[in-house]
Amino acid sequence: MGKPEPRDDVLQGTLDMLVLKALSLQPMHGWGITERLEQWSEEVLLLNQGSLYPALYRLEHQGLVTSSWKTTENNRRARYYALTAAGRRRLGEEQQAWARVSRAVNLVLSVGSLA
Amino acid sequence: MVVSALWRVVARARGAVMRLVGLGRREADERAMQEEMRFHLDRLAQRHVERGSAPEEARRQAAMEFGSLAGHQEAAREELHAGFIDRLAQDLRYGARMLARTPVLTAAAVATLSLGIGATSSLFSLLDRLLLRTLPVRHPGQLYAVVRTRSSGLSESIPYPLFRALASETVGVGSVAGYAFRVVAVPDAADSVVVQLTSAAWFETVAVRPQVGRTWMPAEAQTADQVAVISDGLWRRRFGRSAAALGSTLVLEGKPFVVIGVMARGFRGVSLDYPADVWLPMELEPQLDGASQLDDANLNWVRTIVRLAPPRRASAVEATANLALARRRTAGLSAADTTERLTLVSASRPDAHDRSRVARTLYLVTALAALVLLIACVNIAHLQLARAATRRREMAVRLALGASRRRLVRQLMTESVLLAGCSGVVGLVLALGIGRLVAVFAGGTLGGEVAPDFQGLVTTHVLAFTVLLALLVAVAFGLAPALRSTRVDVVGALKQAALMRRGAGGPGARNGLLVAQLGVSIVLLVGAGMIGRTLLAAESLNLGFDERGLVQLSVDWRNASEPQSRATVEAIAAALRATPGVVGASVSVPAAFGRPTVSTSAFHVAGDPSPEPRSIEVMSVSPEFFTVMRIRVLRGRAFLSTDGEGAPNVVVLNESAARLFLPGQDPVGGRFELMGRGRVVRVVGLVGDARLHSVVADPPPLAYIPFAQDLGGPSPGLPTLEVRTAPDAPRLQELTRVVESVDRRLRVQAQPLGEVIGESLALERLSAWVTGGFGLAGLLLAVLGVYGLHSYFVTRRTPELGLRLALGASAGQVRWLVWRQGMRPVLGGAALGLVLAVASARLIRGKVFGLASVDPRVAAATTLLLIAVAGIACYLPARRASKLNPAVTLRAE
Repeated sequence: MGKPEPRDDVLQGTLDMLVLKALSLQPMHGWGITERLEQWSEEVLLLNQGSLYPALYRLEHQGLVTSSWKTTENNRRARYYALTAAGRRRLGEEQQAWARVSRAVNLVLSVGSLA
Repeated sequence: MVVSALWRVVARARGAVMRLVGLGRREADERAMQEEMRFHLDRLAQRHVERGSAPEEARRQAAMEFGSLAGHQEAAREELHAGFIDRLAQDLRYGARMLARTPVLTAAAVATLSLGIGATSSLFSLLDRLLLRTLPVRHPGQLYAVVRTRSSGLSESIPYPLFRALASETVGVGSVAGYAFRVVAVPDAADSVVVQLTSAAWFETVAVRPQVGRTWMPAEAQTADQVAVISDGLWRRRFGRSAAALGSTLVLEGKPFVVIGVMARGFRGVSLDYPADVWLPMELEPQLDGASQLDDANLNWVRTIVRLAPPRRASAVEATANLALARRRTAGLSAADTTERLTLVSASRPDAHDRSRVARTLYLVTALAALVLLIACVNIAHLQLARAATRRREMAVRLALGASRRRLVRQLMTESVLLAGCSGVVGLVLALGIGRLVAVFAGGTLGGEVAPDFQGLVTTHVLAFTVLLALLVAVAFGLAPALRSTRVDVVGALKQAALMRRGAGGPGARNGLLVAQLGVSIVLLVGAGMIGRTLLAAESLNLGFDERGLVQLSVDWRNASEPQSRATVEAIAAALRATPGVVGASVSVPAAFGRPTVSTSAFHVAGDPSPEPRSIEVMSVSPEFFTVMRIRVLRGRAFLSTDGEGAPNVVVLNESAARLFLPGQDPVGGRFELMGRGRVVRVVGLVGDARLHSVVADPPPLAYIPFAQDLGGPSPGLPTLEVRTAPDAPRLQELTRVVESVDRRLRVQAQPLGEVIGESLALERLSAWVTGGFGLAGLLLAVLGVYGLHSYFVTRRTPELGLRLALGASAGQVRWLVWRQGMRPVLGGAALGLVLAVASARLIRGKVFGLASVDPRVAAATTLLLIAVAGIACYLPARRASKLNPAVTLRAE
């Protein structure tokens, strides 16, 4: 399968992880992902909405998500994205990495307050 | 029409392949992206409305929040595009790796396919060249030939006065031009050349222009200026492509002609039988023939070609032409009877005497090549299925890891396209080689001039054909296995135990393929056998004369000290007769098995009230001809030395002629009028039919006229000598030396007549070789298929067979079990093949010489051959199975 892309853009990498996380509960469309992330972050994380789609296509061609067209509750056609097994695994890895990094960052930042 | 229909089918297939490979997806991706972003914007706007904004305002806010739509779309497109390229590159890399992992199988597949593609492409190029390609002129579809149809048959030529009438009456509806061919000697040229006599309008009508110089004006032809236009080939051979050629003199039949133009390179006129080197004004015909036919109202010798002015239709011109004919008839200017009509037939393709015969053979051989390709495809489909089965775990793993089925199918198809692409390239190279081989084999038969041109074979037509063929092949053998092998029960396949089951491509489907393949092989083999038998039959046919010990001497008259004359020819014959070892020598015009004769004459039985003249072939021979050739004289007498100039004009008819003109009567003593030559001749003898022009065609009605008598009319060709030699035959060089002793400047070619006849069978021999080759290739492929498939089955059943052996089955029992299983589809295939062979023989009945129905002996022999070879192919895996070590196989499980 596709090799993991080297990530030099932390924000982009974060966006990918957040999208995967949003999809880990249930398949949803792009708008749904936006809403969900805003809701979960208590409206702190406001995505640059349009950039969601290139990210979704990238994830799809990496085989981390798949998509299919379905009808919404309002009877409109929308593309629903779902996590693949590989996507789920990637999410796990990213979450661990994030946890490691954020713990490290927190440790560094907490040094001053202890002193 | 066939071609365009084929194009349409192929275009549709290509569309399907493209979509599958992913190119067509880009448009769909784009649409999906647009729709998705519109949906997002709508929902965003809706949220703003719900929070109290006016719809307009909400839309504006949504757009702002979303960011630059064009920018995001561009970024998204880049991702999609990168995805596509990535996937393609990845598929190709992966495919190449998979193919490289089994180098022997891949090489075998490429070899098999490229053979099929190469054979089919080379035959297609021959078909294209001979039958499909139109004349290399502007709007060839506007060209029509005028033919005369009447109750007794069809004639391609009309008398010159009628042609003139047509040309003047059809002014405005199109341009009309006449032409005729003569074969004459040119000093210093490599060979005798074909002269095309043409009316001035011919160049304009056909729409060809000289590359150098000009063609003649109608006025020039009237004033009998002796001008000539030559071919590029003659320009090169005779003038070294020098500009000084224009204005130089070319001597034909002892008359000087001034060269005023050179035609475009490669252009040899409109006939494959008579590729022209020199074009002369039609009005100069008397200069070539020695006597004029221009005023003869009944001698058919002018072929007519018409270019319709675009809005005009052939029917309009036909009506005008028939009106002109009727007017001439009532004015007493034409002896044409009332059943006679002029018809326009398309002349967009080169005119070829042999077209229908060559066409039938070529279509047949091409069909056989396509069958070989089909077998090759089936073989590869087998291979892919078998390979797919071994890759079931891989497929299952990839599906489990989230790959879509579509993706896997595309992956497998990429491999197929890769395989077919390699084979297409190799096939094209092979096609070049095969083409060259065909050119060598076919030599003079396929319209002499085809062979040299055939060398530069790869035209865009052929290239396109090969590429499309390769793609079609890829789909044909790749799609079914790809669809099948990706329909995997993931859980089951991941378990080792699943290997016990027969899995992807069940035995039913595969045996079906095998049966079909064997059936087609039988058809090929039977076909090859039948054609081979036909060739044998043709070679042992009673020709009506005895060719053993006969030598044909073709004399090259070009450098003769004196113009070729009857006296010289007779002196040569006399010198030959005086040579020790020579039993007899005779003269004939035209040569036996020479170029198709132009010497067809209208014939009319004197006193017969029916005004309808009929046509007959004419051959001029010396008195010894019948003795030398051993053609039986059935009634009356052969010619005598007294049948010379000044004596009453006499003819000898062959049986076919007698049957045609005086059915049930003794022709001897009958009187005939040779129309257009103004002579009444008396029949003095009846001889047996002899196949003097073609082994495979029935002997035409033929009138022999004495070589010593001049009946007027065009010379039917150059005199050729036949020599019958004694068993202690003089060597061929001695014969040529005798000829040269008469005139040292004569050049002569001596060839046993048997060889000449053999060469005339080149087309039949070629088809026998080609079909034989295809038959063997088909057999080989089929047997490989049987062996491969059966070995694979044995491998799959190894645990079961091991168990049987462990439980006490004897090696013999296992061998029999396995062998029997393998032979079942073989027998099915043989039965299917016999049915197909009988059916297809019915289809081509009468289309190919001597091929009537399936010869039971040939069918039985080929079927037994196939069964025997397949039996061996099945035995080898069976023997391996019986030697299994039960302990080892069971442990592996």
